[in-house]
Amino acid sequence: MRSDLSPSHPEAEVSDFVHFVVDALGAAGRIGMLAVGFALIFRITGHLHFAIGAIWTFCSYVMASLLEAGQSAIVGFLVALVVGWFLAAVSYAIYRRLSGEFTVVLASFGLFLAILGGQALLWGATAKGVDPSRLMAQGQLVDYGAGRVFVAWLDVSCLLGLAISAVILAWFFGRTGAGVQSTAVSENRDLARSMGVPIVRIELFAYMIGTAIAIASAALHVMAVGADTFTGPNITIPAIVVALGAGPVVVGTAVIAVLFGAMLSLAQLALGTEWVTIATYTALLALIFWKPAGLLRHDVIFPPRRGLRAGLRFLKAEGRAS
Amino acid sequence: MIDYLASIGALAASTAIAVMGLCLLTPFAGYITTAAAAFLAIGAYCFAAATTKFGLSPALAVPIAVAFCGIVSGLVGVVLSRLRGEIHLLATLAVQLAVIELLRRWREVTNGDAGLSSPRLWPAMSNSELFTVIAVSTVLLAAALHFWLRGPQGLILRAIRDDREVAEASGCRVLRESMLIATVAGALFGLAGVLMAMVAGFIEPKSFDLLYSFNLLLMAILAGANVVGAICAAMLLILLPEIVYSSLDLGGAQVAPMQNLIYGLILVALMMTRPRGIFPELRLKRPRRS
Repeated sequence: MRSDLSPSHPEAEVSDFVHFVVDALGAAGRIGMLAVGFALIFRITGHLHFAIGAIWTFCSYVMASLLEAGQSAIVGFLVALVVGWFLAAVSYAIYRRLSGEFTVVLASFGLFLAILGGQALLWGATAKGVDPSRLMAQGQLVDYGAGRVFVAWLDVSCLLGLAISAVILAWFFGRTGAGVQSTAVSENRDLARSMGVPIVRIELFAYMIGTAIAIASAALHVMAVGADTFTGPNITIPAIVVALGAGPVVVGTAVIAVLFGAMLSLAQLALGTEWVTIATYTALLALIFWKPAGLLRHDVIFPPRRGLRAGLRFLKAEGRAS
Repeated sequence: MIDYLASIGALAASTAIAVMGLCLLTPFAGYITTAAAAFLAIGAYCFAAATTKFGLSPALAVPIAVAFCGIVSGLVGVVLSRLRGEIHLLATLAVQLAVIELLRRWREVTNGDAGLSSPRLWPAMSNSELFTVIAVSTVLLAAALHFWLRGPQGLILRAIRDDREVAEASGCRVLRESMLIATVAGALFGLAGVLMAMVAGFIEPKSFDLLYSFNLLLMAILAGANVVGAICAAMLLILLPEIVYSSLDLGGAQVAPMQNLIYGLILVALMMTRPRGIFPELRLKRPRRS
């Protein structure tokens, strides 16, 4: 995607910048949706549900098979969603029975292996294409004045999906009773239980919604390029980086996804495509050492409405007094 | 047939050395690591590159690869020992993925995805001779580790695993012990990597991927804090699939998925029933009365 113009040419600089922005947003959209699903589960239940990457892959093959069999995209998505929910419910039922340190994350590794093994046994290790006439258009060259840039529909739809899920989750956590209950479970589980919050229902809800967001991104991927075995596992690690980086703010995950996408694109510009993967893992290590609890605090991204109003009233009163 | 059995036996014995290293870190010291395959790869590539690219003799390249892997593992262990719980596990995951990507990209030394050929200790070494060398090394190492871990070192590792703060308060130098145990484990990984390279005769980054690391972790968890258990777990999980595949007559493309499915289900079942492994924890030597 980089320009063929000389780097000193002003148009080349504009072109590189536009490509950089488009690449960053595209990477953010692809990683962000899986990250939002993962973060939702991790923050509410405390489970490092590593197997979500394998569920992503399994469901993308389910949908691709149904499209291949002549079913509509809606039917394909709904069946993939049901299969994903079933796998998520099985995962949750297993995690709930576990006790002791590391057992959940090790069981999630086991589920990751088993689901990927099952997918390869059912559909083989090769990519599953979708009839080109049924795919979404691959993308479009957009003229922006100083040149043209290729915009892939997959990136646009993932970015839209990321924005929509972030907005809905922001509304849900900030404005609904169930959202407040979910926050209570994530912050102090025992206290929430003693206050009568239905823990199992809230946790199962987190699994269902988190899996649905992840499968929506898998469906978009299938509609754009088909199903393959490597994308799910490959975007799981960046999604974990984003979810950990966001801290205890599910909505902040979308913001961090955009920042992370920008970082990846910058690494691609500076180092070339081959070294981007290593940059991702180095970023994960750096993040773990620098801020193990995440970069954002709750009030940075989404201030509670009452708290904000009280703060504004206090500031006005202070101003009048002075 | 004997040649085939010898190569499978050699593979199982070299895997047992890797599992002993991982047992030191995971069931004994409580550091769950998913980077074992990366250190095996470092040992294997160090040996293969030293012999094929730099012309060293295999007998000289083996100790160099083992020492190099031990030093790298010790340094990584010191850096990561300040992390706890699942964050430590994620950091080892990042190390695993970064090392394998580095081996794929550093084509001048590793040949990238094309891989490197690896010689044996002497040119005409047969599979049976290799099996004998590896089996003897495995038994000697297991005996040495067994007696080392039955003594004070075993007690120190258990103290670090069970409660790090209490261990530190009791005068245990956690950082030094973590570095020591990571170095020993790294040396074992390096040796296992070298031996696997000799058995296969060819190495590529794909052979040491994350799924292989999960398989090693499964063997270590199955073994628990028991050196003999490490050998039994490696033998079981290397030899059992061979027997199953030959009896079911599975096609080549179905072997790896079936293995992942079975190993994954075993790991889940272990976590639900015996999270500390199926073998009993190594008993410490009773201290002499003074």
